Amino acid sequence: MAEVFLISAFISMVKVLSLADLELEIGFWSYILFAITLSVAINSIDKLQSWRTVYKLVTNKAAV
Amino acid sequence: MPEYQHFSPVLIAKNQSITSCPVCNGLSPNSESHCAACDSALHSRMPASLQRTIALLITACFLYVPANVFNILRTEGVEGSMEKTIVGSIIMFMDQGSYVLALIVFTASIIVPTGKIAALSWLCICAITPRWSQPLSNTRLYRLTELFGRWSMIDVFVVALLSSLVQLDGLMSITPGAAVMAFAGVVIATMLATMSFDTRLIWDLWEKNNER
Repeated sequence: MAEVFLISAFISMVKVLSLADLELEIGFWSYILFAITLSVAINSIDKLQSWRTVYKLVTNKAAV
Repeated sequence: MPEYQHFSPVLIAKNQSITSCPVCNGLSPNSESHCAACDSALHSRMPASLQRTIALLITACFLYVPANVFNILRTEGVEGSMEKTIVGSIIMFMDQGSYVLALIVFTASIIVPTGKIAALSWLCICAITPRWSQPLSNTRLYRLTELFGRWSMIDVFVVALLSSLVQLDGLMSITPGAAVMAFAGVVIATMLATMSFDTRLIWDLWEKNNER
């Protein structure tokens, strides 16, 4: 949801731009980096591999 | 010739008395009620999957009407108040010359919800009538609806951000309109409908077709 929120932040910034001056500070740039790294991290998890590890720990044997 | 024929010896878990876990993909015998690895409930096919999906789709259709008829934003400024519907705000972006934003909002709040409702209805129809079923393309369609579903939350977030940012007493204020709740309802209902549709139903029909 972080990247969806980022796009909607862009849109509302453009809307506000017609009413007021905006100055982007460090929090905004770090939020962009946070959204990117979070979605990359979520996409690079190998779900099967991690569940296999859990299964090994629970049953103390290799998964079939 | 159907396109899925080249990987023909497909084993269907239900016929082998095996159930796969929806969370960890582990395989358990049909007699187990919970997964041995992650303890989530096991069902060979999700109970009442089609009924739930169709009910949520009808809910989404009903909510989509107030979401488009009522106003989504109410701006009160020095020059008087202004109210905008979803389509109205897209037209406003076009008038301002920001066509990229108009396209983003148009895709997120009109194409994605209607496309999702249409795609899921098509999947439900295909699950009932095997004649039109195209398992591989239907699976791709399901993946697409799952991928793009959350992007229609953009409009709700924009309204939430704007109405919390612009609250200058007397000078200017933006308040959310009645349509926001209905639109959020549409997004949530379609997301739940996507989750409650059991993809294995697509492949059951393929097997039924082959038996004939």
